[in-house]
Amino acid sequence: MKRLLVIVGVFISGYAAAQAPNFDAVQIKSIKVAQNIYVLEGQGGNIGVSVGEDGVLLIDDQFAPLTAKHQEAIKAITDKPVRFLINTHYHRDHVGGNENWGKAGVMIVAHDNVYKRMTTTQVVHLLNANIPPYPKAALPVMTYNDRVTYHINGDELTAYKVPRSHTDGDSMVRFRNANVVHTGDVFASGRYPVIDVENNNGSVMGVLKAIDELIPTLDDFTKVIPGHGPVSTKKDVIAYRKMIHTVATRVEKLAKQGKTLEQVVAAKPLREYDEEWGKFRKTDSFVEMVYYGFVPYKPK
Amino acid sequence: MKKLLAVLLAALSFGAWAQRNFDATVIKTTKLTDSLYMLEGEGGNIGVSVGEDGIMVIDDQFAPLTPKILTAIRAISDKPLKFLLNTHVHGDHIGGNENMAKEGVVIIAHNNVRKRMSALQFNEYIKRNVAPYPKSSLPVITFADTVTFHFNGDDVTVFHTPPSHTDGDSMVHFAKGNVLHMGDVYASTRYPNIDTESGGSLMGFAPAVDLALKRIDDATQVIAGHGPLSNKKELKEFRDVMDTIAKRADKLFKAGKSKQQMVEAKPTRDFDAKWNRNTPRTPDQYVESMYYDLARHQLK
Repeated sequence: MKRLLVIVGVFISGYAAAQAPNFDAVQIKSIKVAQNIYVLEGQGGNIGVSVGEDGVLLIDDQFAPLTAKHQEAIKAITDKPVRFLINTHYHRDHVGGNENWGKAGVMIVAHDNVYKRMTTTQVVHLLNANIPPYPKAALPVMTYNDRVTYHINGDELTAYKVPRSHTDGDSMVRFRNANVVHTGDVFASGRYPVIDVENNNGSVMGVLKAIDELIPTLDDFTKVIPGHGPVSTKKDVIAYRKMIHTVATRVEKLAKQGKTLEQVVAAKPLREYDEEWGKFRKTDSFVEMVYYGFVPYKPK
Repeated sequence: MKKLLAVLLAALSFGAWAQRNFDATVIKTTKLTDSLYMLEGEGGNIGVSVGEDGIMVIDDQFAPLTPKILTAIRAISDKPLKFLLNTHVHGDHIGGNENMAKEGVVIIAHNNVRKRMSALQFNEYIKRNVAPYPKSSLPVITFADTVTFHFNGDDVTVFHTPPSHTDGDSMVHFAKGNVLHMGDVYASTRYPNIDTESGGSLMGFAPAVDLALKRIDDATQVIAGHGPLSNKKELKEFRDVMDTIAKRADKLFKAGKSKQQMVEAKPTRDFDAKWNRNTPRTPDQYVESMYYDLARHQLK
């Protein structure tokens, strides 16, 4: 088990606050998704960028040491000021830059539960994370219980809460006119997601539910920005849904038979996916998070 | 009918705002707590939150009053103007939006406020169309149900109420400051206007006030949309009055009574002395507006 945790720790780089990883070598890649919409890839969650006459809106902000590089990448796109920031959820690889942006006067907005978790200590064994409360400048100044809509840059951007899935405060952001959606970490394209199952948080059945609610809102032309992975399409979301459904069904059955975590992992419930999907996140750690969607988590 | 409209026009001061002279208007500032203030001038009462995070303003009366309102705010605080909330769509609450946006505030309101401001509206009091507002005066962020600001050391909840004064009414509750701004769901000395054309509803007032009553206690300072500062006891009385007269009128309407018969039945008789103050509108005229509301909702 210790070994598993070490592996998880390595894979979810950046969660271990003590030894902060070095971001010097990280390069920010800017990808145009639609007129006025870009994705910034670097390290951590994909950043959505809306640019236009009303200024810049960011969706997520990766890690604090990367903010300066993000600013550079944004300047290469537009000279308008960054005014708004939406957090899709509370994880450090999505809110790490908040304090920098908050101090720069950017209005940070998120779901109510993001604020709750960012203002209290979060101990997440499965993610090897012990996150103290964030400083005030990093916190969302406005939070919503359901949804908010930004009327900017010629579009309507709706940030809306989805079922408890990756965490208990996940939102997706829909660009109505551009036909683009940022899914946060509820969707990881072509790879196993993290499911933050401790502390009454996410669950695999919630991921399935959230994805089942997402799919009918997509058409063949929708650009889907995942929390992690390349910009995707409806087809990719459907393939992901199939993987989630497969693993949930198999693990639920084994868990209900009273199998232990070790037995469930040994049964290889993701056997046909591992070669492709296991490149980015080790199967065993993912199966563990799925397992604790059916069995109450107990810290070891 | 013509006379009624003339009276209503004068009473409600709808329309022809641009031409109105506000030279004599004085802005009166009332300190409610160390960080919360009420401003009275002409039009809806204004709420102001000041503190380390900046200034939040609730409603902004008429455009020509903006300089006086800003002078009053600057007498309280020199912090930056951050947020402006609109409790509903009427010009005596949002008239200063465009000016305030130039001061750098982010304007926030319920979805229906923006929707109605963006379209040609028919104003039933003056039987006249109101042109769409310019883009610069529109809310930039709109919400469906509830948003909470974590601002100036307080949790400030902005919540949408059932259709009552309009279909886009919100109230603003300062949890720590123990202050509630009611918008025009509550006028503290008179029956509230029912803007049926903007989706309001006679039957919605008691349920809307119930949402407010759940949040407040005997020490809460209640800012009414119009009228002097109020409290829970008076608000509870208002709620019961609205509940009683709405049920009486509804019963008469359902019994097939005509407008004239409803007026003659005097469903408001025992409340008029106290609740028809500070308005040239007669109780009979108010009953007529109740009848129109019921008739319109029956048509829907």
